[in-house]
Amino acid sequence: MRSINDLPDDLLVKILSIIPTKEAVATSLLSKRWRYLWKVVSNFMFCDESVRRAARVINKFLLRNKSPVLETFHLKLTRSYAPEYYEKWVEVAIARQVRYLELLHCHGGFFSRTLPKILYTCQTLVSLRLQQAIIDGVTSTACFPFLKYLCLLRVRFLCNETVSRLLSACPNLETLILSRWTTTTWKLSFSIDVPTLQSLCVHYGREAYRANYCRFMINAPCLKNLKIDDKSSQICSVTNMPDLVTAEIKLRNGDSNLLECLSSAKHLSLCLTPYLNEYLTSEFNHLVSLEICIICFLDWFCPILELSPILRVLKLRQIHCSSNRDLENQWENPCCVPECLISSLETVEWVGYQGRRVEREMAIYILENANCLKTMTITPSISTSWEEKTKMLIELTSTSRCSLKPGFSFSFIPGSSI
Amino acid sequence: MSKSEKKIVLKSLDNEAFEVEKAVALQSQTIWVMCEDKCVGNEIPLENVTGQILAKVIDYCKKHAVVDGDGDESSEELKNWDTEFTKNMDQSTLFNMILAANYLNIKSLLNLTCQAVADKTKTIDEFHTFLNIENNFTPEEEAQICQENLWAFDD
Repeated sequence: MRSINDLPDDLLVKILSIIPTKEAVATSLLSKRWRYLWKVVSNFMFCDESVRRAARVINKFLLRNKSPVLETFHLKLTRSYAPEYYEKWVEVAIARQVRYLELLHCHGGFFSRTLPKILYTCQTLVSLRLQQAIIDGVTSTACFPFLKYLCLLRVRFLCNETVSRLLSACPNLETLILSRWTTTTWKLSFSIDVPTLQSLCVHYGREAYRANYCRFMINAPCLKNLKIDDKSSQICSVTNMPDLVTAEIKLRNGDSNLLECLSSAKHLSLCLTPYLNEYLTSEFNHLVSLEICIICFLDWFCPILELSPILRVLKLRQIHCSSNRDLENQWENPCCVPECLISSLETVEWVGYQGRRVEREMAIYILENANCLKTMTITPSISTSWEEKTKMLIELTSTSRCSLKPGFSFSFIPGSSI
Repeated sequence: MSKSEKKIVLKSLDNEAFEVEKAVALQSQTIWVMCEDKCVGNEIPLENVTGQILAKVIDYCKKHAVVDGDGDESSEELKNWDTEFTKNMDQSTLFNMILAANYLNIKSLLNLTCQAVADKTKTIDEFHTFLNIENNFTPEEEAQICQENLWAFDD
């Protein structure tokens, strides 16, 4: 029968380095063997919530802990501390060659703290997460040669150049998460120009003003995963991304070549209005699953199906779209049935179905032409009455497929109704 | 590569033999080094791991092996599998797994098992009861440590 005392000290220290620092220090009371173990733990993870004298705990830890290298330094602060303290903590972490640094302010309102300038000299960083910080004065000598992961949550950039200066200091960055958050109303425009980037996520903090319109350019040719959730913004330039696997994009507008640049993706989710003068040519030869917002993407529905020969899963969504266009247009059957309907499309999910003419015609077109369709699931919009739902169901199930095809399942999920 | 070269036999402390795919076994840095060393044949003796534990380690490695052209298992699914894997392990098995992962040098398994212990010991009382550690301090010593580390206990 094994007990924890059979583990060598380095493994005990490893376990201690996973638990929150306060608990790790408390293990000094367990037994003689444990008394000093916490002192060589190289991680500091601390949240000041419900800790009375938090600044003292942080100071004491940094003073008493003897680990020469601080692998991880995570601070989650719900209160504000004197800037001198804050600077001192960052300074000590940098002196101990911190690799994973996290400085999160979790205050209400628009509190943010200017990042100590000394941070730009920290060459050992592998991962950096900041929340509610003001990023300003990135020096031209700033360099993070090993930084692979950068997460900026609700940060404020004091000028457009700061963004590009910060990013150009990260020559090996692989992941960038950026939630913009500004209280000023001037137009932000910035360029994400990182040749090594593989994963990019941009969203706007819920607190950001809608009017705070933003334009960005993306030059990241190695990107594999792209997620943009920023309905008040526009991408004005994007490079080709031949390695792209998944892209999830909610934007006000995309530039004229955005869709072309997404054509390597295997999984796409789109809620945006492409410019109408756009002329789509690239084939989406790898596209297996496609999720689109039917409200802003209606005009692009047929062209994109025609260009996606191996599509298997199609999800149509009609919720949470800020576009206010109505769906009173007519559905026009494409001149010939798209290849994916003939040979690959297996699953269709439609959420927020309202049974208007254009939707009904589209649904029936899919039901009648998708040869390999195995399942079709329709969830009506929550504002639909029971009467309307019954009518929808009758209209849809009266098609020949619903009554005849073996191995096909049609589900209509009525949900609750008002 | 012929079929036999792709397989490897791992022999436990209690002489239980396990034939596994090389790709599965090579997740262990220790086995990788042994394989590089040409003196070792196709059978690798693992003197620190019992058959019962080795079987579990192999289960883990099989799940995490990257099989050619089949990387579709989502990371979410793998994570859930990991949680289930350690969830019902008794304490003794868990510590044996930590020692085995350490000896075999399988970083992700070591992280997973250490995390499982950490998850079960959030407070000092849990440490005492779950880990069954006997307090061997005199009351004076205990008072002194409390004084020393008061800054961390005081809230």
